[in-house]
Amino acid sequence: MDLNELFREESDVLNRSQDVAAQTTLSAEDYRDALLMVNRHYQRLMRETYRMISRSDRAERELNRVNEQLHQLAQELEYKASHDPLTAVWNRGAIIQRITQTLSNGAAALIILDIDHFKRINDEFGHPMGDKVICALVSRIQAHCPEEASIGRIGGEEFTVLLPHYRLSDAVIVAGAIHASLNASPLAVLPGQLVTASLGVSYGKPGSDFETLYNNADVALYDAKNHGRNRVFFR
Amino acid sequence: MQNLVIAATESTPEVSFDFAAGQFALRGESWPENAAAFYRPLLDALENWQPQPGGDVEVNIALRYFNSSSTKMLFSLFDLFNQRAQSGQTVALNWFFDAEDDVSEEFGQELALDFTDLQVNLQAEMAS
Repeated sequence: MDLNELFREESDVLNRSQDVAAQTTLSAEDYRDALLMVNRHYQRLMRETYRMISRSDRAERELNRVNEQLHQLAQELEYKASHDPLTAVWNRGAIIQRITQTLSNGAAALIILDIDHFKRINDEFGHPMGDKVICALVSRIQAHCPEEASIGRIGGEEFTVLLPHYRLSDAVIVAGAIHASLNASPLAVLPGQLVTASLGVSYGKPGSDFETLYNNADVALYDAKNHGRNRVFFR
Repeated sequence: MQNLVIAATESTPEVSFDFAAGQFALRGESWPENAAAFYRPLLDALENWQPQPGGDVEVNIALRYFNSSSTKMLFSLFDLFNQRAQSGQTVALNWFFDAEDDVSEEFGQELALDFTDLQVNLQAEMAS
């Protein structure tokens, strides 16, 4: 975009007025006409500039509004992409990423929790009750987890608790507290019966990989199930 | 002359004009409903200011965002400072811009071209 090209009329007016100003022998009428011409163009320039400014102010306001909306939607999307819609804990992809990242920085312990006979609850009370039980159980887990724990839902009725920098023995204590709480009192949504869970606990050294940590906890969980469910095993 | 201090709002910048010290600053965002009404008192105050001779002036402008009508008024403001510079005062204009904001950086460069008597300093800031 070239200034002189865009303002050709204005440049013409400038040149003409300069020509007039350079001459000393014109009549008063000629100078007056030239002045009026400049005046007319100046008015037009002001009017047009005002229009352009108003127009860009409006467009910028709209742009900012849309940009804000976009920012908000992006945040919502990011949240939805990383959280389980039912329980609001991390979803499978996000918790795996967190575990991997944690192990790259240091040691971590992992608890896998699987609700005992969850299918029976669904069959007997229906899926909406099943959902409520899951939410209530997540609240129980949260109530017994330390601040730095990350809880994730990795399957229908299977949850993980990532405990950064935890030793195996300390993680077993956390798992034990969750287990004891489930046996101490039923969930408020299902007061007539206990909902219990089997828990497997494992430990990963700094720099170890997700698969090893997860498989160890999973094997421990399998052992817990095989020994009659409703218990904590570790490996 | 009394200092001019106005707190920032969502759409108007913080204003701090310390005439005695020769320190002037605008910080924040500028997209008021009526830019002329917001900036007119600033321009009037600056026009009425009769500084001690020889006093240096520092103008700090840190506007994250300013709309077109604010731009028009800022040009008038900078022109007044430029006139001060033409009449012998040393006027430094520090233009603070977000390091990732090319448009703002370019605007600062153009200020140096348009207001040749101001000492325009471009200062990149890390995005906060």
